Amino acid sequence: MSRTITRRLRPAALVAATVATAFALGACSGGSTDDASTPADGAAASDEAFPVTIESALGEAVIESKPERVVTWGWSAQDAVLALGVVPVAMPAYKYGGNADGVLPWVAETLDEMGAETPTLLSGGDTSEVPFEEVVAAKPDVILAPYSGITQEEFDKLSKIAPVVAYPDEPWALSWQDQLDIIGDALGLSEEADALIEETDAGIAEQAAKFPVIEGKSFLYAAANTADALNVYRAEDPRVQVVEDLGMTLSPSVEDLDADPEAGTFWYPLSYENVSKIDADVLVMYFATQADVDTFVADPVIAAMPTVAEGRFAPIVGESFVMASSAPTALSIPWMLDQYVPQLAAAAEKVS
Amino acid sequence: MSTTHSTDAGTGRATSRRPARARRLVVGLVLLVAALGAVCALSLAVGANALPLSTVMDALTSYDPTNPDHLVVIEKRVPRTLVGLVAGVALGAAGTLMQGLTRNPLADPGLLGISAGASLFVVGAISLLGVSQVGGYVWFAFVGAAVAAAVVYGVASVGREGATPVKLALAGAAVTAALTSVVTAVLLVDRAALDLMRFWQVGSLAARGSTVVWQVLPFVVVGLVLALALGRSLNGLALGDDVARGLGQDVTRTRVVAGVAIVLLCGAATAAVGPVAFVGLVVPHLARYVVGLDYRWVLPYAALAAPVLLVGCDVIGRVVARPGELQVGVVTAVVGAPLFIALVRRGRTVSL
Repeated sequence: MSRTITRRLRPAALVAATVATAFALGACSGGSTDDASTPADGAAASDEAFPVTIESALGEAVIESKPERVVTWGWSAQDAVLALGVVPVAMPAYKYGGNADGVLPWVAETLDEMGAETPTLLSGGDTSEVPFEEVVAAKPDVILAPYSGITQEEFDKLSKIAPVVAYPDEPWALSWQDQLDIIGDALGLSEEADALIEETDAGIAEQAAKFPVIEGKSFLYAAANTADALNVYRAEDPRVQVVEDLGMTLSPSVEDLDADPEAGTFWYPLSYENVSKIDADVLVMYFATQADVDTFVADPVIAAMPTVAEGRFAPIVGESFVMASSAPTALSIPWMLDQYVPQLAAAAEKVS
Repeated sequence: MSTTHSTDAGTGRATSRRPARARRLVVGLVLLVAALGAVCALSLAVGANALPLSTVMDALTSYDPTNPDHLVVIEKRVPRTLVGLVAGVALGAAGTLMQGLTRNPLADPGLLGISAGASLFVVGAISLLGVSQVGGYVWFAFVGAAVAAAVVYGVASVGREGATPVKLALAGAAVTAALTSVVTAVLLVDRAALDLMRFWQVGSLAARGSTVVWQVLPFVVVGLVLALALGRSLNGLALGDDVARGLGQDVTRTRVVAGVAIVLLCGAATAAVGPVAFVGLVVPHLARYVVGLDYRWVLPYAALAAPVLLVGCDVIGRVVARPGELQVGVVTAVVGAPLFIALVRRGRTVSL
């Protein structure tokens, strides 16, 4: 199976996938284990895929049989689960970007289409505080938290409730493709996951083709969440990867201005004192409200940035839109893309 | 100057050594001013962007708003330094007044409920009125500080003896506890408010802008003039209410004027930089350690030493945690605590 867009499976993810493949293929006896990028081919969507073991940075999850009661934790795992046609029994509520109950709009739409009830909403989705009692009450068969920041302690505690699929490498660093792969393996739906990735990639390519102006333009993705500093997103962040998938290239400034590349976090602070050193065609940033954008560009140092002064600035405004582009998934990407790409293109057009 | 001033300070009685002592103290003040100048120069010269000194000088002497480096100096470092300067003066003078007024060596803006009052009103502004800019907090912080101080004084005045130091401290502690619990309750429920508040609450000189300086400066000036005029009265109060009355002082008037000055100074400082710990507590002790117990000297020394500490701590905070920075409130606590312990261990300082 070929993919039009480069995938970024990091070593630990590869190990996880390989192990999962080995188990899956072992279960259905025979087959080669050398093709790690297409785990569990031929075993998908059937109980034969189980038991499956999924490795993570915090430990392994041994899933004995096809999970019926799925609990998701962290960001966007519920999207992957729903996209694969499974309704979780519990998922986090997101005050930021969600509706009054904390359900993200594309999740609500998908639940509607599936005619499914809204799952139990877990508290702590915005603070990352794991609500253990609520998880216990959901009686999960598996807890999916591949894109989360759970600690070893939380992992161990959750593992007593059900097998926990944590992040393969670092907290809060997982492409949406890798997330779908991992969750596909955990649910015995690897083939469906692969098909979804292809389908979503095709949608990305289709949108990008409508706006050739963005092709090859360099960008830097940032947020204004800290006083007098930009939070610059590193290459491993999924929101950065989606913009790359659209054909733009990550500005070398992201690496050049990174004072601590080994920090193991998905962003780093860049003081306003240093923003003039940014060399990028387009500056992409997100804001909850237009008022936040206005405040941001009112700062004289920011207003003087060439990207801002020349309109090569793509502010992504509105909580749901921010959430969709910041935590891209097979559900949120189609939801936001026809709004997202034109805004990137509008900024890219100003590049002289 | 180790034994003589305990007698000459309280009453202001002239001694034969007084001219020499006064000369020494004036020299000390000049040295403090020089230190303040040096710290401010450092604050202008040091930052995340290692600008050459010549560029900093150019920015100050021949400002070019199209030069991003000049913008950094004029729009970021200058306001930041000024905010530190103004808030530092206010905190130093207010801390001294509080300790003198309450005869409590542990008095600081946190003690009389002033910080808690300011915090409550700022939280209310963020959560209920949607104020999201630091410049907008100023007036709320002010009103909160004044209301809290009035409540504390009102509560402490109930009863026959009036607002004695002990009752003031008790009322302050009680009001602080009550207000803080409300603040915590709001922050637990309102995530967006928590994000904004988190930054203000630690105390920071960053992103304040020059408007904040002009907003609070008049209050600081008036407060400082009142404070400096109170030196002799505070010396009287230090001997106890009865002795002060015996010396012909109007104790009640002193209390009221000092109270007004404290609200002006603390309100301004808290509004500008948030509740910064330790500066208002440590600096008066430091000043007493150098000049003895005469408030006519302690006040100006504290008012000059506090900005040296505050701006100095801000410079340290900018350097030690690169590429990010530590908020000044964190640094003052780290620097202030050992300093305070050292002073206390010398023994003499807490004996007000």
